[in-house]
Amino acid sequence: MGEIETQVLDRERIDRILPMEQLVPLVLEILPGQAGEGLLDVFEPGTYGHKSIRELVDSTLARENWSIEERQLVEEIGRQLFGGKLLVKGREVRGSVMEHAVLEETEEGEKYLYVAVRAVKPQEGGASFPGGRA
Amino acid sequence: MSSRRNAGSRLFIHENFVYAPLLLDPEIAEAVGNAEITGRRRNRNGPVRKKEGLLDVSGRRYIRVVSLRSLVETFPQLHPESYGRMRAEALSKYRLEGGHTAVAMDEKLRAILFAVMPHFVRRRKKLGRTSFSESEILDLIGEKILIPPRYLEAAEAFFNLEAIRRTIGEMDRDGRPVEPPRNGPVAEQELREWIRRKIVWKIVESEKRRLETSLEERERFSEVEKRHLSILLYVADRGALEIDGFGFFRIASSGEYIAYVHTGEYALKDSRDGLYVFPDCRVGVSTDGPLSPRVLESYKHPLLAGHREGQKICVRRFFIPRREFSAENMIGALEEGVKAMFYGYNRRRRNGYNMLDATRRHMGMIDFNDYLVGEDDPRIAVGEVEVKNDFD
Repeated sequence: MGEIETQVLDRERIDRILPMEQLVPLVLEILPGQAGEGLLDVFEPGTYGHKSIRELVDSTLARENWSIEERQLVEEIGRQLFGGKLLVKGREVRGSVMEHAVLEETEEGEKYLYVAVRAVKPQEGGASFPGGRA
Repeated sequence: MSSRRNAGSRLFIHENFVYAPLLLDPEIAEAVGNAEITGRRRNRNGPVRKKEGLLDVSGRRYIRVVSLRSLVETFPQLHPESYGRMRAEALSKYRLEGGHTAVAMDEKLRAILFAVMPHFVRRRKKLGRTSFSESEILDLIGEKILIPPRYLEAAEAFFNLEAIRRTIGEMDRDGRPVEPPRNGPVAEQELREWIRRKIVWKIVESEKRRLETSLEERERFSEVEKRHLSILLYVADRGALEIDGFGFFRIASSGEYIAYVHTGEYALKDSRDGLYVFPDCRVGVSTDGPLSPRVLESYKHPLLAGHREGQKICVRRFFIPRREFSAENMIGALEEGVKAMFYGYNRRRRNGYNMLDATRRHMGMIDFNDYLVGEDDPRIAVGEVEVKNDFD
């Protein structure tokens, strides 16, 4: 696939035109913490529709054929997920991947579904009330 | 011995040291008279008898004052204005076009630009790529920032290698080592002239070495696009940049830097599911001292003590900020700061300095009611503003 253009198509049009899961690949991006970019994985059509985001994330992290740089990302994501959470648009991941995917298109016109997930280890700041001190 | 050289001589040169006349003093005379004579030598100035630090030249006594080397080497510190004028005059005939002789980018700036920033910014990416090379970073900056033309011009001048080679050649032709004055009496004027010639020679030699180093550097840079160089010059000169929510700036007084990440607007929930939309702020970390994240703006938040600029974020228990600057440490500190702002307030436990939905308020407690929005707020409904602490 070539460079990604973020042309997000209308949901209604998507539902009308495409039985997406059988026709287009899914690109899953797992971002550690507040990183601007994350680990990318591509799932072929027909292999992801019935799965939850968590299952896809676990499958991605379990792969062994990552480059050295990608392995560093895998380790960082693992650190965040140890006691942490997976968030999609700020909320904990629930449901299947199809509920959160958006349809995008490359410059060459290839369509694909895209889901961005953040691996975050939220930790409480300071101390709770009463006490009034952080 | 030439009478011309002796005329007005009050000083004596001997083995690269300057000797001054020793004033007659009975005690000194006795000391000199009792001194062991180390030997006689005949030279044009007559017999010289020497004790450590003392000379006896045909009955005239001299005492060692200073080495010729010290006179030359300490001149810049002792006479900085004179030295500055001598330097300007000596180098004026070798003036080079172009003001930039090197990209003066300190290591912290380089780390922020090429190691910290790539962690937080997003570029258009090709699938499967994760690396973010220096060239790609500079390309990204070039896409986002309008570089003033003078930096492109400076980059052009930087690559004018032929001019530098010509100048080095001229310096080679002009430069002749300055020999020390020979042993014997020397007039003050003659000594002063020798010092001047020696200093000028050192200035030109030093500048020639600097140009040779610069030439090597520019030859190595020749494969870097001029545009990349203009961007480096721009960033090094300004010491500040902001791209896609990440930025940094140089602190004028100290030369240190503050790097920061914008939070953008975000929402927090209180214990009763009330929604509060917080404005954008910058979470920043300084390269100087403990790497503690702070909010740069005047800002209020449950994990900030008050409502003012530069507040330290109450990150989490047992958070010990790293003291030593490194890209990794700075990324970690920025991540901790943003994470605290987004996820650090537990809406059920209501931790922190201030509560979103305090039932009772004491003096000084911060109020967040002006941030309160309805549950059907369109920005939240369409996902433009994310609720960050909606955890069970």
